[in-house]
Amino acid sequence: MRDNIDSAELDRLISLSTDQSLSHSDAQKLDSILENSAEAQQRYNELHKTHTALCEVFPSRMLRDFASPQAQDVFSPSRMVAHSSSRQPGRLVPRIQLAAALSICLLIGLTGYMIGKNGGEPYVATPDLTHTDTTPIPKNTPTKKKTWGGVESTLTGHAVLRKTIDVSWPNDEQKITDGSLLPPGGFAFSGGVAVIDFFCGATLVVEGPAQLDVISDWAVSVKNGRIEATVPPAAQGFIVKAAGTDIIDLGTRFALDMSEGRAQVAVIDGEVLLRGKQFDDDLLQAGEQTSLDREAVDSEFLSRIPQLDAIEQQSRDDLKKQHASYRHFMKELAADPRLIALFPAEKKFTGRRYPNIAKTDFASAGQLLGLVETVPGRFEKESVGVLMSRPGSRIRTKINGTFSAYTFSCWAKINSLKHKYNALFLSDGYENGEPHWQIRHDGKLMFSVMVDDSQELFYSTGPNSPPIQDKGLHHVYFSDAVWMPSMTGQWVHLAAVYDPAARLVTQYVNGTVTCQEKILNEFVIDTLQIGAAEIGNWGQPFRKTPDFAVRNLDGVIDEMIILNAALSSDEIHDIYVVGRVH
Amino acid sequence: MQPRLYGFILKRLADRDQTLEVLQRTNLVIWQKATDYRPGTSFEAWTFTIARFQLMAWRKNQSRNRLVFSDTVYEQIDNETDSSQVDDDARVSALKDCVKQLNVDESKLIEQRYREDIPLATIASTMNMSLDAIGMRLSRIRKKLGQCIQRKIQK
Repeated sequence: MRDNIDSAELDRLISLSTDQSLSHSDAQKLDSILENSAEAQQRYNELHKTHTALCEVFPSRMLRDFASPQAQDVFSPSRMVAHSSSRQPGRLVPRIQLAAALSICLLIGLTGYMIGKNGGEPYVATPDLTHTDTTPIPKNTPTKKKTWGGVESTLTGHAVLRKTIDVSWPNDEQKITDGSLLPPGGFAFSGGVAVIDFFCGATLVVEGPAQLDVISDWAVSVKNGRIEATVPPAAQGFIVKAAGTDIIDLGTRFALDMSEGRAQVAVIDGEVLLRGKQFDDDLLQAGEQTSLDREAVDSEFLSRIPQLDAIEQQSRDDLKKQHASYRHFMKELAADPRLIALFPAEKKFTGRRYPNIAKTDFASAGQLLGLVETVPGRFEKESVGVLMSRPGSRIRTKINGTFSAYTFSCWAKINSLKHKYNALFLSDGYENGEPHWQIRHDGKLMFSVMVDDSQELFYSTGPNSPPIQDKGLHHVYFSDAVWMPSMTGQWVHLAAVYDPAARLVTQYVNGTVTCQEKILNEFVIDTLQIGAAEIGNWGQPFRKTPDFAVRNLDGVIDEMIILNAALSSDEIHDIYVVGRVH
Repeated sequence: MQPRLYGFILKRLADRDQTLEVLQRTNLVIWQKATDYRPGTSFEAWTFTIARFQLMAWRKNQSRNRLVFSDTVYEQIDNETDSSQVDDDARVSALKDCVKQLNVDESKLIEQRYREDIPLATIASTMNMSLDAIGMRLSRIRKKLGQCIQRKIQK
């Protein structure tokens, strides 16, 4: 490590790289300086931080146009041409695409903000009750709208798809995720129940098969489906158009059945006004029902209408049942003599102790350290997960004993793989027989066991740290990439089985084998141990500097299971199935 | 968000044109995967993950001669924990105060370089100075601002 750097030369190279471009020889020089000096890397980082902050405080037109609602003219074709001709047009994606792409950043951020805050000021379109187009709902795109205060970013949407239960969408393209805005247009699904909140305040519970056309904040057209509409006072005047009739709600609740050729409406509470076809502003009151197409009314139809309270209750009941079944499974598993440790996703925590319920006495309870947060787990309020997003977050445990095989299993909800290595379970010292289970930044699972720690090599833990002594012979068993950014926030079940007897390492994702690799003779070790170890981070208490490798998993882990056995694929699948939340 | 994404990529590529190219590709992927983003999770972290994949793909497809950093240095830089959103916010807030301390000429140069995005060669020619001299002046201003930011954050 050479730390006598020429600061002036380094600054010149960094400035060239940010303001202009480096010649080949300057590039090599910068690379060489950074490779050999932690101090240079620190300086490089600091100058980049300042440069990035300057870009933010004084955004150039290119960055500003998409980051601020002030400049609408960026979308004009003439400006696109002017921009793209200024540098290497042949290699660059057309600016119009960039404009669109950059805009979506605003859209997503804003959508997240609005939904996250359950508020915001959605764009209120002028009601257009003549709209009957049922083309698929386009993806949301941001627009800019002139207001008295200048130009304001807006989103298009009249309603939010609050929740879906077992909904079958026609295909992935037309799938709408929970929490999405519903802009004007049609959508359909073949089964299940969807709950839609219109911006005016009306809520529809729709049971499929259903085909709807969102018209405005105040109106929806229904071609197919069974619906319960709840209309609070603020949404009085909400219109459901069906079978050529406008059903105008004057407050509270009504049901509509547009399934299997029927077209009938019943008022559960309050009253509605019927307009169009055979109706001339006819009032329908609580307890009354009528057909919209002159057919006889099926008096039983109300019993088939989905009711929000009942659906939510059912959903809660299902979750409780599933949780009860999960607890039963965990209780049985806790008595399994093969178990080394079991940290279940239970809601009862005492202080910062993470309970281990295994009946064997190999492992201590976990200790939550740093800014570890307990958050709702897979079973929502019935369980907890542990959020490990801060670098110092960790759950420490101590596991005594020697073992002949390993099975690791856990559930993880990953926000991002922001470090090169992201910990699932890592033993402190990585001595002979000790396991390391982690995910690399590219989404590949890594499992390894130290075979012979007597060999020495030096390993860098970061630009600001001197290399630490690492130990010898081991082999990392990689899977293909199993996690990608689109899985952010999803619960994933992960498992790794180390089977020295069968000379196999098998890794699983959601109960299914994702990779299997033979243990070569030189990497076989059959006396396994763990010692001090961490869930979701890597503890290195014997390091010689204050620096530590940052490996905390940016996400939530719950239910870590460790067994002194190589579980079969069926057993792994069972753990996945019983813990999976529908 | 765009300046931070730009900074994230630039730090790893050390080349402005390449950074713009990768930024565009990243934005297009963000666009394509917009519906995959889960509200409530870190939007910044999500976009940085996408950028990281684009950077990996970019480096894989470029000849070594075109890349500033070797794999070793790239990994060292990439391994360095990026500052948190909160830290970035604090830095921007401090910088807003710090720029008030610049003299008129310094402010003008920063405006021209950043907000107006005028090529350094053009600035140098209008000011009748050499390109190197302008580069050094900018570098000194950034250093001064960096120190000011540090002082304010430490307070």
